Amino acid sequence: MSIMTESVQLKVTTARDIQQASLSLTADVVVVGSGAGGAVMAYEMAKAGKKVIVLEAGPYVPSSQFNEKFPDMLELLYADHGNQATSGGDLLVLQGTCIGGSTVVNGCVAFRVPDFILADWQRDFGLTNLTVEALAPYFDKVEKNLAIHENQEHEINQNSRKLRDGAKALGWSVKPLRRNIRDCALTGHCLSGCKTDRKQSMLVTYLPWASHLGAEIYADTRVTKIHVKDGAATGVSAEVTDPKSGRKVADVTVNAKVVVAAAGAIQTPLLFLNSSIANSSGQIGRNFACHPSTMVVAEFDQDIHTWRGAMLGVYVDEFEHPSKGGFVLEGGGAGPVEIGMSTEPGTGSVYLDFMSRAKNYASCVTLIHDHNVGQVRLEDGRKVIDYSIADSDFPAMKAALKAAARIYFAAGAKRVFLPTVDRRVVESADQIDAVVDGVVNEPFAFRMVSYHPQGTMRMGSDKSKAVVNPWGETHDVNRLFVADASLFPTSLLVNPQESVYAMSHYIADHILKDKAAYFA
Amino acid sequence: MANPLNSKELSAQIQAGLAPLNRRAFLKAGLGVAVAASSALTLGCSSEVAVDPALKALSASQQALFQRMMHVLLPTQGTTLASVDSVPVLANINHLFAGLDAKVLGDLEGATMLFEHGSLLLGGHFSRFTRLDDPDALAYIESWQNGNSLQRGIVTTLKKMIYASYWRDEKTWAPVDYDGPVSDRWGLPSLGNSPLPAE
Ligand SMILES: Cc1cc2nc3c(=O)[nH]c(=O)nc-3n(C[C@H](O)[C@H](O)[C@H](O)COP(=O)(O)OP(=O)(O)OC[C@H]3O[C@@H](n4cnc5c(N)ncnc54)[C@H](O)[C@@H]3O)c2cc1C
Repeated sequence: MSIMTESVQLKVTTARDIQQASLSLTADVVVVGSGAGGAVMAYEMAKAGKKVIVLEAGPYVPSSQFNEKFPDMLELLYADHGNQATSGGDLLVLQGTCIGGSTVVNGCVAFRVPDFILADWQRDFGLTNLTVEALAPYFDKVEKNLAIHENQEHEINQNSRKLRDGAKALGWSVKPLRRNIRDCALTGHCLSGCKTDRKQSMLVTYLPWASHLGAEIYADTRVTKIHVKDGAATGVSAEVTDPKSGRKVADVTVNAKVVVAAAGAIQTPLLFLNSSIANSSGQIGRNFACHPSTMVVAEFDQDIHTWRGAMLGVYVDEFEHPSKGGFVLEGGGAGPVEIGMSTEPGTGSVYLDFMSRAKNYASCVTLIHDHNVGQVRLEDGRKVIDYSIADSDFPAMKAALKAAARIYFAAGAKRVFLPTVDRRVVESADQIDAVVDGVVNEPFAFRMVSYHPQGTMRMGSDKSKAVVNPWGETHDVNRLFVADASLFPTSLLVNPQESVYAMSHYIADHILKDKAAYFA
Repeated sequence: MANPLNSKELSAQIQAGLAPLNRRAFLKAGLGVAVAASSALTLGCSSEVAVDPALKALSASQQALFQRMMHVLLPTQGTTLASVDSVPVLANINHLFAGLDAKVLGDLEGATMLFEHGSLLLGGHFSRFTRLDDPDALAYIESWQNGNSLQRGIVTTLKKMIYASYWRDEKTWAPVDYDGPVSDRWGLPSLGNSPLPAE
């Protein structure tokens, strides 16, 4: 890759830097949120010479403050200190809330939107512009910019090797994952942020680049309202809060020609609902999907140390297409605590016995192509995330567990622990179906985490069914764009970050192609 | 204190407390917190455990509950694992509570109360949880683990809080071969911000 050797600094204005009680700013483009969608948008706009302001609700945490202790980093870097959950309480929804958003804490796995998903979008949502060919240049560019590459053998740890061995023994397709990382140090601490800046998150790439090109970036600044006049967005209001004391420091207004919402699939719809705008379709906040994810743990005789090495190594794509099951399994390592929480090994001495063998466990993460059955809404001003596994998705959840268990037994596992709230342990391959089929679809059946909220600002050509048009602009309000994971009209099935980057870049290009209209 | 089993009033209060849980309306989890509450319910005066006034985010009854529960969940004596008493589990739970917003805290209060008193009504035990002996306390926890979805939710939440508060302490890592933070130990240099792409 040809690169400029010039080192780039990330300049961020934080609550501590602000002395006035109110600030009034102007920009060509104001971007709400500094995660995957917001950072790419900010850079592309700044590169085109636009005056850009990025407002980020979370704090600015330089990587030198990442301490590789997951509980600490959950509190520091994640939404609701890692406690964001659905209203039913059985699904944790993890998101980064800091400069760089979820890209700071993610697992680096990078996929393009699968072709069959794009075909669904074209057929069902009128997104005929989003062809594989049309998006390819955008994917090419972000892959180059973020050093996305296929894991090399040294990046495939013992944990992933077990998954690979088992899949191969069964003749199932298994591939190295691709990741956005330079010279991975194999610490296994991705979800606590990359302390030595190898992960190519927005914190060390697009945001410093945007900043270098003149974009102004504010941390601790939560946008509370989008302003609309005569059918067009005119700017936003925000509040700056001291992250330590929780005290409001200043009000900010930004007047801008273009407003881009990139606050993620939970907060973008809430911001719109709070602003009472762009909802003639009634779809804002609806169609929430999230790839409900579980971790299957298998016990082996030999030491695995699943937390050692690159966190995510290989994935089994044998069942990726919906006609074959609609799920993938990713060889994902975890610390002993997370392993112990991903299953119910038993209570008291049984639990301690389980934990004392932590180094013998292999673990993989299941991802399914879930339907858009959830909703994000406001209740008395508070966010509510409604989501439970649809009956139509339950077979895929179970099929993923069965496949994972088969793989582990094929690789020589002694037993497999299911990610259920009650204790379910499979002692041999011939028990798999019976044990998994015993799980019924009810609240608190599985131990689930979502890393991938999506779909709450649906993109589509029909304004009665979608919030945002095929180029990212809201159907109802001109100059108001959405450029984050909330756009996706269906779940992607695979990890979404690269698709968010590419879509944001695609939308930025569209805005810039029509400069005269948007920036007059 | 009247025998709670004969107290129709208390039983009604507990059922009233459980009703919203059964509608799932109150459940909110993070580290998985579950919850609901009848404000009429109080834990009363059972605690025989010394209350640590420094743990401001936890009520006396919550301190008693977590103390009891952590010893039942983590019987480390005689194992190679770090002794549960050598780890500031309660202080770590207090820290966790201190970071939660008022709504979740209120919910948690309800959850801890229901768990403490649920044995009177649901578990077939004639005592609140903190007064059960070890085998009964273990059986009670397991009965919630295998109970209805709301019992499962509450007990899983409480367990997770205790486990997380134990394992986050460095003393617990070596016995399970966990490496903890490594970048500084390995002397890994930061690569810094990536250079601007030439486009
Ligand atoms: C633990 C974890 C692991 C993951 N692993 C992977 C992986 O390996 N591969 C992959 O592809 N994806 C992964 N993801 C998901 C991926 O990171 C996200 O899909 C992607 O970052 C979403 O981009 P976004 O722009 O929609 O939102 P985000 O990147 O979450 O950014 C949104 C930003 O907006 C800010 N914000 C919210 N509200 C406001 C407001 N009102 N005003 C101002 N700012 C606001 C937030 O604080 C946040 O910083 C992971 C996510 C998590 C949490």
